[in-house]
Amino acid sequence: MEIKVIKDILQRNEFSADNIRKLAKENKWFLINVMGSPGAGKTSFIKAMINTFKDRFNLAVIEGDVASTIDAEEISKLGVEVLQINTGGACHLVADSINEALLSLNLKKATVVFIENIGNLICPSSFDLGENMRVVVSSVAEGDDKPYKYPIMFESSDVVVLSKIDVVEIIGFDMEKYIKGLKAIKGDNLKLFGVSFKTLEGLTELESYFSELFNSYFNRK
Amino acid sequence: MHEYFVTQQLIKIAEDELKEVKPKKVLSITVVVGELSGIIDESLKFYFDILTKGTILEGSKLEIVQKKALLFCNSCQSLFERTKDFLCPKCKSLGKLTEHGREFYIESIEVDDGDGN
Repeated sequence: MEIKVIKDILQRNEFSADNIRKLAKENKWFLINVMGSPGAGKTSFIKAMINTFKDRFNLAVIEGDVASTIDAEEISKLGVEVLQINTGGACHLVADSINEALLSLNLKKATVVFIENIGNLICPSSFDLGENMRVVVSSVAEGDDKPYKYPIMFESSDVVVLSKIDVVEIIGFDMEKYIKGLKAIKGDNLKLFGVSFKTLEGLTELESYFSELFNSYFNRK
Repeated sequence: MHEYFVTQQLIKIAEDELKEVKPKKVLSITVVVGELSGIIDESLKFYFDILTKGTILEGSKLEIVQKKALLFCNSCQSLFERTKDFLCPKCKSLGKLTEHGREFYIESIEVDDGDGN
């Protein structure tokens, strides 16, 4: 006898993600899921955002890491609340643990929460964390073929931050090829910001984009 | 590596489906996995054998049906298998991702319900 099933295997994660969306809406939290390869600049992106916005908005960070607390310690020095989640080997964060983290952070109303996901370009894209927005940090150092090799990561993200643009020439990074790949995936929805967290090039554009976004979400002028 | 978590979910869904049927034995479970789903077949099989121990699925076979990623070419309106630069093999235009290749679901479960069916 054959039983036809056809069920989404990730349905349990979806259930928790829906719960997070509800919590976030009630409390006016804005959750940003930050994804990307190890060393792409996820922590640098979060640190830059904290430095820019900590005086204007309530901020908090959920740090996902396989085992260490290196990034969490560095971020807590900037004076925002940080919670570490160690996945103990898993390659991505799941909605269940974000749900728990949000409750134990004791967040104020109207808070921007950055979630630093585990570094890789495959697994995190499959797991809905109930976030308001997904950012993928992709670095010049990784090469210009990443959109072609990991299309789902880029497709699932709302914003692409291309970091380390100060070494485009040194690496021989083909910007045209990179953007062409992204456009094939994102079409007209592509929001790409080229930045260097070292030389601060491109940071103004990135900051003003997020500034407008937070202002409109929290209804501020 | 997220196959551990995914396999746990898969087993849970299958167990739920089988609650009403109460089969004598589960023979196989067929899962459809697309190339873009991020799921590695071998890891799924590896965890399946370990995690089904002590469940109704113990000893059953995990069958995986693979689906290729297909891109759509707007210029010549054709579907083509993913190339490394996303270019359509026919007209060399840039293709777009489609739903083909993202599949990840349990298609069916084959059971022995004791009637020889």
